[in-house]
Amino acid sequence: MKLPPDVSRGDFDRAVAAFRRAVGDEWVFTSEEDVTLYRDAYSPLWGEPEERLASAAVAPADVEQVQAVVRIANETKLPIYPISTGKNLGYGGSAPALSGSAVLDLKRMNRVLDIDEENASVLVEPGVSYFDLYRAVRDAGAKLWIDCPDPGWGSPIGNALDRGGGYTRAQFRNHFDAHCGMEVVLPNGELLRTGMGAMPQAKTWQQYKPGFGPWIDGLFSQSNFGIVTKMGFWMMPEPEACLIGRVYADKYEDLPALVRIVTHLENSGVVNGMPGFGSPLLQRRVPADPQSDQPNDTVKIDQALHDAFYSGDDAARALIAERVKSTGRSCWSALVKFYGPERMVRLQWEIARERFSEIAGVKFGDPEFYGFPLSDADLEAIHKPTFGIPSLSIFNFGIRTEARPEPLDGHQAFSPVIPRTGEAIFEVNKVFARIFREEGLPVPPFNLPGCVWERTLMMICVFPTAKDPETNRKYRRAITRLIREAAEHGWGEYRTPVAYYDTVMDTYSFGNHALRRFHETVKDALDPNGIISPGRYGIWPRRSRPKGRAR
Amino acid sequence: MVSRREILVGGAGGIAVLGAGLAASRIAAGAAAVEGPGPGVSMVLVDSTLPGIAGAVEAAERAGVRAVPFAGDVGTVWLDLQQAWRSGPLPVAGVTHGGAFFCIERLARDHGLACTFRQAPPLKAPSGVHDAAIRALAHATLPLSARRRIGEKAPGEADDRALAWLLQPATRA
Repeated sequence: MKLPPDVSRGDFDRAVAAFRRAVGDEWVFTSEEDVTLYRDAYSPLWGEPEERLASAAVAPADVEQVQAVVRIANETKLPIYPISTGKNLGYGGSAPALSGSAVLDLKRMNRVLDIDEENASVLVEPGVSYFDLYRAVRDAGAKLWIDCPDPGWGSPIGNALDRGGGYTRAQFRNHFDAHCGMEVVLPNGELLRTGMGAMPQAKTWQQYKPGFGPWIDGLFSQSNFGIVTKMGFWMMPEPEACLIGRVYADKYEDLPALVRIVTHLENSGVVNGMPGFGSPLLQRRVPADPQSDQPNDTVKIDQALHDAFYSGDDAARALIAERVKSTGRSCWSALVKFYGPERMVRLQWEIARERFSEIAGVKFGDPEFYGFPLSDADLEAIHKPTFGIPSLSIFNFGIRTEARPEPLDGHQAFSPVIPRTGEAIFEVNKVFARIFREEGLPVPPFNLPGCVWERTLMMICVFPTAKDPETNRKYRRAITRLIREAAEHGWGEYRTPVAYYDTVMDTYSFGNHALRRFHETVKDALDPNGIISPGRYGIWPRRSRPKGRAR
Repeated sequence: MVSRREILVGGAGGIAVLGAGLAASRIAAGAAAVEGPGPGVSMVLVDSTLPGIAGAVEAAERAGVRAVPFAGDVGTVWLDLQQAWRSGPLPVAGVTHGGAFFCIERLARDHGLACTFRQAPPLKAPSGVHDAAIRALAHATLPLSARRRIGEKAPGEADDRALAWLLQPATRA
């Protein structure tokens, strides 16, 4: 068993004994076979001395027990690492950022406390999963949609605090932005409510976000400043209809115009679902194509064609034009989604077509129209999260394909945020392809980013993790380099696996790391004993701050 | 409109069946061994997209166990499984893609179950899926001494191939 360097076995034993008194014997886990279950199955550090491992786990049943655990951690200095459902595989799972921490497992706090159909909001505890929430909303007969990520087994609170994203309208698919009010156990054990929840008799906790005074909710996302025990979310009222429009452009140089028009339509509110870009010629589907939950890369890669997309020079464009002609497949596609009354979404599509017609030779697919509830046949064929339904089919994405003869063991993501322009898509692909080549890795297919967030694009590059340290070392080296070189180009990670927290935080270095120093100042003020999630998102408390940084 | 749920993980049903100690394993289902004989298999999950899956359905029906189909996305049966396990750690068998089993096994851990049988059926053999399903079901009847927990997949073991598997109530070592 690993312990943090400044925690003695005696302190650990005292903490565990006190945890048992606070939550009951059966909810404290110290045996190796129990604690092993909190290991990150996708850890890129698997089996190496640096792998992050818990020393114990404790599972409180309610807020009072969370407060008791926090007070014990302060007395014994044993760090605790809160998890909600611990399912964010690829970003750390349920393993702590600092080895030897005790996992604070909040899965037992799994109540949907309120479903308000008229206000289109819910109030949940951290152990509630998207599947739980989906069922609770349906059982209540409320015509509300959840917005969930792929896969949907995680927690709305956990995903929102990690600033994850989904697939429906912009104000809902940005999961942190969709929240309204939270309850937080602070590192000293006090209970805080944010927004209108700070007023004891508040009638609008899930209706008005800021409350009065500084709006502090963001401090509790991607951080270690407190333990969120309740969170409100705004939900999407079930629309009357959804219309999916498809747009095709044949010329390589059409991409910037295609991106520009999609972005303007979205910023104007004409397109109100998550748009996306694909390449029929490369057989790259738009991310979250509602007509398919099958992964990309199921066909053999035409390397010469991908090389032409990377290059984009005159010869490459000539090759691409010839392939467009010979295959009948367009170079690019865009997918736009509209949610709302039927008459409205049909009009929105008409307006969008007018705008896209600025691109010479643009073509349109027949629009797909969905009314609700969906038929069983639709449910079997669609990308469910686009329609507010949780799914686990993404776990099919690691399957063996012609293009990928060896299936993935696990995965880790490199996901920088880039400008919402076609020019940025070309540049990012070129830079990343060069790094892959220089690192001796296979150059992946030309990558089209997702439009999860408004106004930006997010490149999602998925790398394997293995149980073989040498393979993991190779990919860690490449990802570390990608993070640093991306930052030199102004592209920053939105989220990262635990192994890269410090590397990413290093890149947000404006003003001699003013942001990190601000985080550390807040951390030291709120959590002087450094007991909550040391190291999470690169925020270290004074007691365990890396050498060379102010203590 | 307000609705409230009061259901917490950890109903009493499973504890009554298997004795003290199991409640804790609903959160951390670490099991070095499984205790027998335990209840019979409650259902067989079958992925209808797998070739030869009719053989697994037939094997389940002959054994008098309900076959529950899904088409690729195990999320469609996730809620029902979760609901069933909240009332007790009922044994469940399946013939699914490895990815689906990966998900189910993690849910099972939260409810006090562990994998005790896992086999990749030869999909090209005419009765490969059928025979693997029978072996998974037969495994549920073995005495304690013949059963053991099957841990993480072995290095190099693919997640994409079909798997016949069995999840049974676990106790902590």
